[in-house]
Amino acid sequence: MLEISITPPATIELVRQNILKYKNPLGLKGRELTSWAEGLNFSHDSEYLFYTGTEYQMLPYIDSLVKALKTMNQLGSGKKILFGLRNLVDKFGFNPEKIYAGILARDRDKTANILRKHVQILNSLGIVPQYLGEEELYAGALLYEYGYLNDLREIARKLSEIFKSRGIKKIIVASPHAAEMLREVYPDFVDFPFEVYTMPEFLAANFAKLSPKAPTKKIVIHDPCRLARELDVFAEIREVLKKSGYSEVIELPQSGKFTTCCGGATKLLFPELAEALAKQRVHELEKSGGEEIVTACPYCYFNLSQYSNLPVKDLTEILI
Amino acid sequence: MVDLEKDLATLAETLVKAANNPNINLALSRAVKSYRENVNKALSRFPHTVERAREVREIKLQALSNLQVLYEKAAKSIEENHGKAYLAKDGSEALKIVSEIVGTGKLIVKVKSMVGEEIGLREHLEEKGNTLWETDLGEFIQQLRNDRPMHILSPAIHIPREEVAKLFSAFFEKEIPPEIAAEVAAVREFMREKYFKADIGISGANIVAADTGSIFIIENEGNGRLATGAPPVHIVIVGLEKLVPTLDDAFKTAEVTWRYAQYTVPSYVNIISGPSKTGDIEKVTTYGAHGPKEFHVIFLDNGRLALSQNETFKEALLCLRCGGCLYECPVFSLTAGYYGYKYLGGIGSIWTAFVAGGIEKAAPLAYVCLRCGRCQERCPMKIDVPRMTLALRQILTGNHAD
Ligand code: SF4
Repeated sequence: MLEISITPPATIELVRQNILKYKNPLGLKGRELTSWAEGLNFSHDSEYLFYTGTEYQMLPYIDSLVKALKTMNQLGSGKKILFGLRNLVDKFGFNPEKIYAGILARDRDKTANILRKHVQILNSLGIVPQYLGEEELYAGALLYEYGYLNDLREIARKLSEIFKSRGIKKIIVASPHAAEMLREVYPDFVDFPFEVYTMPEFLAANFAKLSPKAPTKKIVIHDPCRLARELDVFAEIREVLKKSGYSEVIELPQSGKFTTCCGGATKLLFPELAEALAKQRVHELEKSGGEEIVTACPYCYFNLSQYSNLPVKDLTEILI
Repeated sequence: MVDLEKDLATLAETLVKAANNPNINLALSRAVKSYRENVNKALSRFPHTVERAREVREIKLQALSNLQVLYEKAAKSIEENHGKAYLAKDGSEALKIVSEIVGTGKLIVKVKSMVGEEIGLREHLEEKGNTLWETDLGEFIQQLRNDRPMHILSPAIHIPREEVAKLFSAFFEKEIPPEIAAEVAAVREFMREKYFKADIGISGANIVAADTGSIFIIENEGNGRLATGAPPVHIVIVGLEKLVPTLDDAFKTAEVTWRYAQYTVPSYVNIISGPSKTGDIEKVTTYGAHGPKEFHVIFLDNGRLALSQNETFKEALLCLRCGGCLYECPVFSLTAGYYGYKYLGGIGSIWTAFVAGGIEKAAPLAYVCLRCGRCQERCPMKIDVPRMTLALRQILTGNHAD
């Protein structure tokens, strides 16, 4: 077997410590994570859980993080070791009030609104789910991606205990990355006796009870990588759109199983490459003839919106 | 101790520079588009290829659990055919064997070979006082540019015709217009006499059939048959993973390889099993008729045998080098071969770790992969690069149970 020891990049270590120490890769806390849910209808004993994995909530802060990482990286690796990574996390560990003071309320509302629509749609299907609120943890996809399996196992254990203690049986997951963890990865680590649904799957299965808005624009679909390939969910998006009256959606040749990355996957380690990737995909989508881009993943939504001249919508926003 | 942070920063700079290079952008967008069109067309014309690819995956998986035995069988067949077979345990041993055959002061014509790239063959032979010409157009361009291949099948994939014209005009010391046909003609004229003057032809191989000792070289340009047919000596250097049990298996593997390599139907498939011979005078077999008198096949281990025993990573050895994954890789389409060491793209990182380069070189590359998974959709062998990338990262972090 190969033997090697590495000093991990500070970027990875920072995100990792944030996840372990706080509950979220950006170190967001309290209302930053939960305010979107205020005034919505939740239950305390439903067998359904709506699980955000704290991911949509992060979007307005990602750019600030990338900027902060750049500042941090200017310290040079020698300095960073001198500081000690722990201290760095404390120093740059994202006290939201300070570092994120510049976040626009408008941006926060936009992503909060997407989560709200998820819940409103579930309500209209007759489901009043539970929400973990302050107890919610990030599912650990980044730990998985970066190769920290032991850390991920810990999170899987914690989350499955929380789910069990609340009597949850069915979990509707907002982000494909979290859904991948819950469905494909956790069962290897812990007893995980829950049914896991992505939103497009749940919508397709329960469409009969839905009364969606009438179509307005010509839609082109951006299939999120994880959703299409790991989770095998892409027909569902088309089914939902078709039943909602979109007789014609535009299909790129690079769609479904051949969809491509929005750049989000590499945003923290290679931000400039991520930008080039996003632009490359936006270019494909823009010349497709569609008037509006639809996707179903927080990171795709965020990365494409940053560079697209066309409006980018979450599937839930199209429906209600 | 690898300072991953530093390595990643260096790599990031290289990748971003490549992504902002308009030549790479232009050439890659043309190449990706035509790759997709060609392969889709080829697969609809020969739809059995998809099923055949599944079959070949099984054939090759079987072969991997049996490489040592297959080598022995192949070596025996080659010797029976009056060729010579060698097993080199690493790159330097392979170079030593080649050097002993070649000597010094020779003229060599070479056909593109990733294994050659892996062990630094051209540089080595030049150092020993030989003159070597790369006969593949793309590789020739890279030789003149003093640069490494940027794609496994199309080494000069990132150089548009306008650049090629400038390069050729300087080298041939006459005006070559930026027209592809004129560029091709100039190289043809230059290379022609080299084939017949050369002392030695060197090639890789796409496949080796153990039962007959036959090597397959798939090509379109025709340089493969000239370079392996005209000189008096032919040396083949091939990775052990190219072995399959039978000639029948080899044909199947060849068809899948060329189809996913967008050759549809290649102009040439060279099948070579021994030196040229004739029995036309008195039925006495005499070696060295019109083709080579000597046929040497050097099998290269260089980590492959160990890798074939590694349950987590062995499927990397299924790679046919069709190059399909590279066209589907979003990072590759922006950066070409700058995403890679000797072997390129996501699959290349695994090869870097276990075969060519080592884990230190592979470490930063392992973090470039987006794990988007599109390569696997395209790959005829359905190699799970995202899974192996993750396993590589786990080795790097050490943050895993076993
Ligand atoms: S990994 Fe698969 S697609 Fe890529 S070169 Fe090898 S066989 Fe072809």
